[in-house]
Amino acid sequence: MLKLILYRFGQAVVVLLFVSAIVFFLIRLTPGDPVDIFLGEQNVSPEQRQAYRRALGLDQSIFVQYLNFLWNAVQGDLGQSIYERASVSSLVFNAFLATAELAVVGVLIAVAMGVPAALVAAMNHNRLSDRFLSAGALLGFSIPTFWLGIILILGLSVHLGLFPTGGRIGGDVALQKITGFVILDSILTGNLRALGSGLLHIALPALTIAVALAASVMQVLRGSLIAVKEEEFIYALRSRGLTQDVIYRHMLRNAAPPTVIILGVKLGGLLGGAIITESVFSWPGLGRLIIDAIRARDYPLVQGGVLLMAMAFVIVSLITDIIHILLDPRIRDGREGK
Amino acid sequence: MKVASLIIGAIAAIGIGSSALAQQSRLVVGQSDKPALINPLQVPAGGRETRAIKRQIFDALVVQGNSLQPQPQLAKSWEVKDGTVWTFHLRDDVTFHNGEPFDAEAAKFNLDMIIAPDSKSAWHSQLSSLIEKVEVIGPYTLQVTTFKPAPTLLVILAFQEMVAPKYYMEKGPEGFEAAPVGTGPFKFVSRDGSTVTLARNENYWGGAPQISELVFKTIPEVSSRIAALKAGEIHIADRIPNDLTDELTGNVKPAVASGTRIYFLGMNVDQDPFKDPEVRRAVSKAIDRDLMVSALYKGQARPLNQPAFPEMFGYQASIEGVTYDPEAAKAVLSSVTTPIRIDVRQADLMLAQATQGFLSQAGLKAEVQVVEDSAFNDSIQSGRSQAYVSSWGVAEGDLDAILYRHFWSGRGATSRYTNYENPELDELFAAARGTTDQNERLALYAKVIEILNNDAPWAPLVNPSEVYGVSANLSGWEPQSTGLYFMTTATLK
Amino acid sequence: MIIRRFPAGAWIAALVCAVFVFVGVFGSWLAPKDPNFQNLLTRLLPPFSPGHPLGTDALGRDVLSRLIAGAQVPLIVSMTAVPLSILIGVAVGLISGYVGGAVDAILMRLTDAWLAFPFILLAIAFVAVLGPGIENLIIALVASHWAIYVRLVRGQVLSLREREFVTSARMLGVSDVRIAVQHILPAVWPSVIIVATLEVGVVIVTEASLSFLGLGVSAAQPTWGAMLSEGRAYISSAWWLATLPGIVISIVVLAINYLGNILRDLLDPRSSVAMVA
Repeated sequence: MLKLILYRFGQAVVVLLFVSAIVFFLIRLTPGDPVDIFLGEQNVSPEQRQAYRRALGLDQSIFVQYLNFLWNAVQGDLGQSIYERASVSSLVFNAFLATAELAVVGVLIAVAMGVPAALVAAMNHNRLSDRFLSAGALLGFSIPTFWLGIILILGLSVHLGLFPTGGRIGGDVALQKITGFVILDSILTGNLRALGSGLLHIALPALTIAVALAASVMQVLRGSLIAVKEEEFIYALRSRGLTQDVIYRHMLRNAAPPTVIILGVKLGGLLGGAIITESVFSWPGLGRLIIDAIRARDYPLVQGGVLLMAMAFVIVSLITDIIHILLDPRIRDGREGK
Repeated sequence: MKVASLIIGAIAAIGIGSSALAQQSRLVVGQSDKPALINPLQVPAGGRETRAIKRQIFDALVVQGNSLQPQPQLAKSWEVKDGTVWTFHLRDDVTFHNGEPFDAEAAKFNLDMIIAPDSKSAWHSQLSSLIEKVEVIGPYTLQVTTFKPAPTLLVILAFQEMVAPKYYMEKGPEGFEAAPVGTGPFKFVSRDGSTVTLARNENYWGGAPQISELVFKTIPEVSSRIAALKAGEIHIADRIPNDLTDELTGNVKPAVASGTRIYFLGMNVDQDPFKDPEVRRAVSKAIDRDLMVSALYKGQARPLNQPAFPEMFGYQASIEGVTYDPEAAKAVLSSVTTPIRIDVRQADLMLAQATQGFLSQAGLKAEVQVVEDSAFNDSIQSGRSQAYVSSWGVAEGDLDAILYRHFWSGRGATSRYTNYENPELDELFAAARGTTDQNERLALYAKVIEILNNDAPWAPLVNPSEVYGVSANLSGWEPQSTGLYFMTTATLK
Repeated sequence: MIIRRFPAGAWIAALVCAVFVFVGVFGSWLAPKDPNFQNLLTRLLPPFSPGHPLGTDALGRDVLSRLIAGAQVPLIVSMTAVPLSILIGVAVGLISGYVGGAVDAILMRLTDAWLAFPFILLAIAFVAVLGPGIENLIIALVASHWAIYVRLVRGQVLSLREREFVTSARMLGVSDVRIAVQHILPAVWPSVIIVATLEVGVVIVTEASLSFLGLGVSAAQPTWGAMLSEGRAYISSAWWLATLPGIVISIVVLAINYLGNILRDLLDPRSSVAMVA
């Protein structure tokens, strides 16, 4: 099994190499020039302009630039942002923390909504409650995320004033930074005000991404639960007179693998930034960072952001695969799992 | 369900409780765009949003008021000799936030930094082509000598924020950016991404501000900005779309200043059908600017009959300018067969569509195309767009700014725009740059406006007001045309 | 026989899809008014105004007509981008799975790299590179969606390759291309169809998202996503501008997904593969 994991790790490195090449050349193919953008409407002489290009290394041939980028990236140096005047790694890492916090809370909400719904639906297979929940899941899956976000802001923030409209934490709330996760830091420091503010801020964006996710969880888990329900060992457990709780636990454990895979895939995607949700809720995450960087043609920032995003995706897939292997002994010995 | 709503209620109570407990004198400004560098000696210098923050931390020798004319700030007064020797009498009661005194040496340091050949300042090329030398002729007296008469010098100086020299040399550009020091009404406290926190400068020479803390944060979405204002999370929201002014009711109100941005339809004189000046003039006549102003801007804008607005030096108050004449426009445009494509940024889409609507009514086949921001800039700067709707900010308040970047033939390959050039215009431009006699310049500009209106590379559209949303409990603050925030008298009830 | 098994919902969903296609094709004749006609004097009229059953937008254009005309781009885009993605994805998947070895390794890593980007980001990059316009929008969507089918097809090809009917065909001297096309392709088809149905919904939403971000087709062509984006600033004063297109998108995508689910139950009841995509 170790060999399989090492093999997968090797694959991941190759994937990242491809990603780096794609993003590097794609962003440079895009019309628009970072120098022009940051000089804006200011009056700058052509010589000055050329000096900026030189300073940014943009006067070299594109392949030399790519090799430089790769060489530095391998050493852990992703360069300086053109526009922000900070190192790409620090910008990207902070944004990633915000994104990760949102993704994790979103997944938790999705599980909290999706798992009970799936259980209820599976136990009442083809009855009214199942139909109702399945239809709800399908609807949740079909609503465009950006629209849902807007509607939530309109209803719950603007009209009812229950939630803030965006950001991670109230501007007047001080919070000592330990891990970079607002909720975790406020618990660690026992800061109730920050905790309240953080939870209120994350509620709507997390709910927005959780809806479609919960729908997926519900649909997939429901399917596997229905299949598991009919299996012999469940009948055996039931005949032994075990409580319903214990039986549910057994069913869930056996029905879990496909759901875990899906959660893994979706989490991998979310770590890359729920781009639209982040922009609707002014969430300072990776997706928004990259979009802004693309707009500003901030090449190093785009490269670093996408690379980290792909890295997160690849690592989460890797972990998902490993969990999958652990959960499902059949794959362990066969060819690599799909 | 019940438990869930209880939890949400409890969380809401914590959150609401916390904002009610906040200090009364903390004022938050929500801006539409994130700030660039705060260090005035480095690029990217950013736009209005950055400048708004910079001018809390720094002062300049002079400052523009709502008339856009330079007023005294760190310089109490000045005189010009022979049009080229400027003597500035500086304030003697100013210190930087770190205790360094502000004097003529400090001012000279700042100007020298900008005109130095290796300068990274945004204003380097402008200023170094004007200023021959900067001399200290008294502890608080500064003399600036220009190569030739420089009528735009004062306005440019209004953009040169003064940094603390010793501190700057000690920290270097990067260190200074992390903790900038100036003479302004607020001291820099911290910057977290796009949120900048400032604290009151108790020793400000112009009187300490009323509020103790000033925060600038970025909220790019208009709807989010308005919602945050209504929820009391911020006290001032910039760039409210003008037609949403009526929405600012209840605990919020609109605050309006006349704007410094000219919106126009640019027509590429190298491409059909705009090679023909007759067509360009007709396009300009097809647009009902009054209706645009009353409908799209709810009256919070001024229609433009020339490529200038009333506060601008060079504006011609007495001319008729371009007018709405649908019949005359139709007579020309209905025989134009070449379809036109109007490029536009997402942000200006509505104005472009309204413009296109008028052109269609006049019989011109026109289509609007949204182009991603950077690609748009690339396209218009290299002079490839057939037609485009865009705007140019003239915070300097002088027609020179527009001539220099858009119509002067020496404007360079990155400012092709409409590709329009005219030798006669070049002569007028050079003549206006060469004199400080304002009456003479005004006469030259009258001719310039006449040429531009007649050749019509631009169909000037509107000059929208700057609409801000402010909390009802904010008083003592008025928005400025320049986008600067004068915060010393602002109070929160 | 099969028809009787369909619940009532399926008929409604099918009807919604039929209406979507009909309106998408004939929208320009169906719209009661010119969807691009502006009247700045009658802007932001609420629904149920005389002459404008669903109100007008910020330029005084008829919202109902724009909703109807707005079906065209999503229809064209989904009906071209999905088949093109299938074409590329299935071909790559077949080659990768059937040929195996180094070709497989390279193609799969490339696919993984592609999948590691969020679709929307790839689409944004492509629209930015290629410029706006419906053709480029389709290219961007294909570029960001083909990779899904590769994994789907390749996994099945791997197992099919060793099956008896394939090995015996090979022994009979049937060419590789013929085996792939005649024997393997039909077997992978059902799962591709299932994913493709759901992908239609995804593509429609992605198109709307791109228009929403200002990276869609020409502004002369109304689309639901663009309407939503333009209406966003007026969300608290003219709610219908952003709300109505969102409802329309949701209903159409819901109907498509519903049909996709039924199709999955029919073709491949135990599969959960569709949801992974």
